[in-house]
Amino acid sequence: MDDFTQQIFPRSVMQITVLFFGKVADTLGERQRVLDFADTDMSLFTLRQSVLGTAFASGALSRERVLMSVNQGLTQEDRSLQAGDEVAFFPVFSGG
Amino acid sequence: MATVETLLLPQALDGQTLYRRFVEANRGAGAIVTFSGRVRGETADGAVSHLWLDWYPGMTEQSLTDIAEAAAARFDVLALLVAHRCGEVQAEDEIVFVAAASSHRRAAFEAADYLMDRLKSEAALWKREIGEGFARWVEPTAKDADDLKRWT
Repeated sequence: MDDFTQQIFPRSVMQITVLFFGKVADTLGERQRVLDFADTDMSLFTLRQSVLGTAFASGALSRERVLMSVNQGLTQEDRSLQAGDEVAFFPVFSGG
Repeated sequence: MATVETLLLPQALDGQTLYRRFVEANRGAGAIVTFSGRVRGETADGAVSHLWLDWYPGMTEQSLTDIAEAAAARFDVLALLVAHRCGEVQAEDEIVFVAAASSHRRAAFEAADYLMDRLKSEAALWKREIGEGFARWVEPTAKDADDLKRWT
């Protein structure tokens, strides 16, 4: 954490940028959210539940069809997060 | 090592111009194979007017590069070009163009085939079909998954 960030956010707060793409963005009606967490021991599993739990429960999104990345690299739900990480949730790809 | 170029294009993709440039840059190649993918105007849901291809700036470009570099490492090619649209693409417009240059035809055919199979399932893009009275997000099909397995 650099000096500037520390001045704005005390050490106990972790800021995470979350991006949404494709059907996930459509379902949530937003493409980006910046979240502050008091708990710095945060896994992607917990973050996903807090952001997408309702959409999974209603069937609007399927847990198996939503992929996730941290800092633009595909990853799994047991990944732990650090302040400043860029997390994204999106459906399986469909290019070509 | 082969020359690899990838392009993610928010505006029109012109395969013919890319082809001429590719030929010019690979005059020594004995074989050049190209593939041009176009937006189908008809689906089971009805007539498609256009697609929206959502993308993740940075990650999408990297996914195209990763796929092209894997192809360059796998096949005996001199050069590869991958150009993919993003954003709004009209029906019948080009959505993807790939080119492979090699000394001999087989490697060029195979590299282009491999590139397309991987792009369908692994390019970081999300396709939405929009037509009269419908709009739906497209997910890869079982056929796309089978196509990918050909190379494992």
